Amino acid sequence: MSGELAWPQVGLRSPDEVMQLDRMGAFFPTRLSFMRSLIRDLDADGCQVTRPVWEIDDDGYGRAVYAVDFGGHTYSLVAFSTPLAPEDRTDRVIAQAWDSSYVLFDGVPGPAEIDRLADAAPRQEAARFEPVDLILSRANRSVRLFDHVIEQLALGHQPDPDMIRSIGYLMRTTAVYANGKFGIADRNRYADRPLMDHPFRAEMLTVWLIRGFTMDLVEHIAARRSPAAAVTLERRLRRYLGIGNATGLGMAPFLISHPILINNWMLVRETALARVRALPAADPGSRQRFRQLAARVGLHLDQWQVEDERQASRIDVLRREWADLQELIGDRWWDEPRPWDRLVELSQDRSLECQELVVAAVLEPHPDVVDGLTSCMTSGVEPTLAPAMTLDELRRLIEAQWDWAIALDFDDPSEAARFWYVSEDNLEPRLGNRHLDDGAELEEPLDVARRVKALHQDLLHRPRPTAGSEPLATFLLAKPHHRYAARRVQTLADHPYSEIRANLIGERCLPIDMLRAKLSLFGAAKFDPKSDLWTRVALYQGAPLADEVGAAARSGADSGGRRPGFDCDDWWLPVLEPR
Amino acid sequence: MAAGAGASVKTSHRELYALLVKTGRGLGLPIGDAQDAARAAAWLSLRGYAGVEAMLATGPASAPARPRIDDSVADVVGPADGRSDPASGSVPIGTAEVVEMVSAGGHGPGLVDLVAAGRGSLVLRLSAVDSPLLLFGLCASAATDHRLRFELTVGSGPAHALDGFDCRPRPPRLLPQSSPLTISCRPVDAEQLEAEPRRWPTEEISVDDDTWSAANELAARTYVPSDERSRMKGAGAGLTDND
Repeated sequence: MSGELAWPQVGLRSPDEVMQLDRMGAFFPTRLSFMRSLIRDLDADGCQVTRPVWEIDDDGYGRAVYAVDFGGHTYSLVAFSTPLAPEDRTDRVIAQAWDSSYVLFDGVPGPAEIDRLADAAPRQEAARFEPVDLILSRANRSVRLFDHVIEQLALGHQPDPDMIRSIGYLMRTTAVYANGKFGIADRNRYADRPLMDHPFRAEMLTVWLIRGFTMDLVEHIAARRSPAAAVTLERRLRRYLGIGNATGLGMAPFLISHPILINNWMLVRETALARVRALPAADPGSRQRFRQLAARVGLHLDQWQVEDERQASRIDVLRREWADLQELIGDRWWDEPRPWDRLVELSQDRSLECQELVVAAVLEPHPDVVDGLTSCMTSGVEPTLAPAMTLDELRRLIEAQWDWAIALDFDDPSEAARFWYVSEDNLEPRLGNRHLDDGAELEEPLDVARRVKALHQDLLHRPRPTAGSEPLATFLLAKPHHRYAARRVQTLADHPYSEIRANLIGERCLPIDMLRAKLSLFGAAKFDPKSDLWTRVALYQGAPLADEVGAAARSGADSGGRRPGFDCDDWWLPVLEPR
Repeated sequence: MAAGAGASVKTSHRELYALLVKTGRGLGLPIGDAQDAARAAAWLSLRGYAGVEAMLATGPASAPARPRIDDSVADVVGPADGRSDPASGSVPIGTAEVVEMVSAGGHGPGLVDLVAAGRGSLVLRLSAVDSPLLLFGLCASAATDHRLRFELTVGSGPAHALDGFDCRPRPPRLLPQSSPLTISCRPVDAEQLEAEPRRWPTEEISVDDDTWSAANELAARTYVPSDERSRMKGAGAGLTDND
């Protein structure tokens, strides 16, 4: 963060507090999220989305290309809509066919490239792609809403807003592949380009473009069905529709396999919070902004309806807590010093959901204070091993920073109840029960706590009493299986937010918490858990539409301050307002 | 950069690395060694060497017992050692020798670490290595990580200078397992080092179909067979989702 202005800040929340799985499972999207920063950059860059290809038949099948100039490069979403039998429609990794498939192409594809992708994209993992293909994705219809919207538009009506509100998307992406998979481009092909060096930038751009496609698609089908009567979606409904995502176990290992990147994300988040908390006062603009947002949050929480009993109960509590907080924050609140810090403190005896909602809420009115930090969320380094470290030093590191892990008793069946693995079934990530299921000998290395504890045990019980000054290199020659754990211990020493402080193979571990943490950093909201293993979310709900982003910059309007009409950065925790 | 004649698969550095980690695990390497071996093999592949083949040639399954290092080695490379001055790039003064066959994937990371830890105070002599080329890749990774320049000599051949960027002169394509290998290193400062950027390269890599298939077959050893029960337990709405 050395490039940032020297903003005052309070102490960061401890990693031991922040990197607890139950807290991470209560994260909310913030203005630092990847979708938010993308939209801001698209807007400031004056980007314009065009649609050079639209070859969709009356039933909604065919191909389309959307092109956007961004940071001096052109990127194109190549979209294919294909028939799919209901019995073949699944969001799981084991799916073999989808309602739609997509590639984010580097440049504008010609006819030959589109034909190539028409063959490859619908086959997804079964095909091979080219380095000009940057992102590979697919999406399935939300059948209820998709059909309803077409039906109503064809009749000349707007769709039922309650249905729009409760579902929130026309299609759900079920995978967004990047970074070399199946032959597509390495991230580094484009990461050095202007505006593309943020985490998941290309993925977020792809999903935003897919969102636009889904709306164009339903309007097209409705118009073809009923040319004289059909209408288009009204803008407020269009804006409220996002892209759904069915997020399963595949996202969880990322949090383990990219420790330095995770550290940087969390460090930025906590630094942003520390800066806001250090603000000595709340200026009138940020006070007013917070009041507006607080009202919106209340409505958003009312509209956040889920079937999962655990999450529904948490939302109920959160609604009450949020209302209570607003009662406590009267006009005088803002006149006392450090109002934002006091607000965070006030939330500390409330639920984790409330605490993390307050964290997100206090960041929101402070773009000048926090937005610049998003440039620090990438990582260009990989974890390395320091072979000259002495065993004593390594042991002390473990005892200081992994005390929670070495306290675990892995002889207790509950602490080693699960194992993460990759199924031969289309390489779907799964979670097995070690005491019931086969395959534990092939488990993926998410049992970090257990490995670190085992390393610690072997360090404690060295054969030679004088071996404390022995370098790690010689220890690992004799015990190479500790290499992975040793590297993780050393990485944590320099990257304090790199490890989740939880036993990921214990029966109390809820993978859903890992998923929500990562999704919140993407910018997703309206978490709709379906089990402990997967959730549905809505991406880009409330976000600007293609014709709204970049409009002001293209017209030469002053980009400072809020422009009349729609503010392209004002879509945190969206609500569907009455007409 | 075709690694062989005939049909080939075009892949990226990142994809190749991810595959070779699984390949290494499929060979029986512990995860930490598999990661390092994969990184080394991917580094080699990107520069036109037979990196994947080098990976396939190693593995603890065919390796004999772990090499035994002279106990005095620990004294040579310990940080309290006053017999060398790494900052000045002094001549190495300690030697370790391994006479048994070395598994480049299984023992290589640790052996290269040993040399790196000494930062010029250790010369390592290996009588035989199952995949000598893979050791070159491991040294390249260590050179990048620790700002070192390695020197590798195969048999009575010339010394190969290796940094994180490339190797000069390039090693021969075929490196017999039975040729002795000598490894040493010395520190270099940032200005001296032709540092490879600390990010994944972007050039395309070609791997011939047979080699690609072999790597994937080994990787498949890490996948758990599926059955109806595990299929139903997988995360998701079910086997169909028409919500």
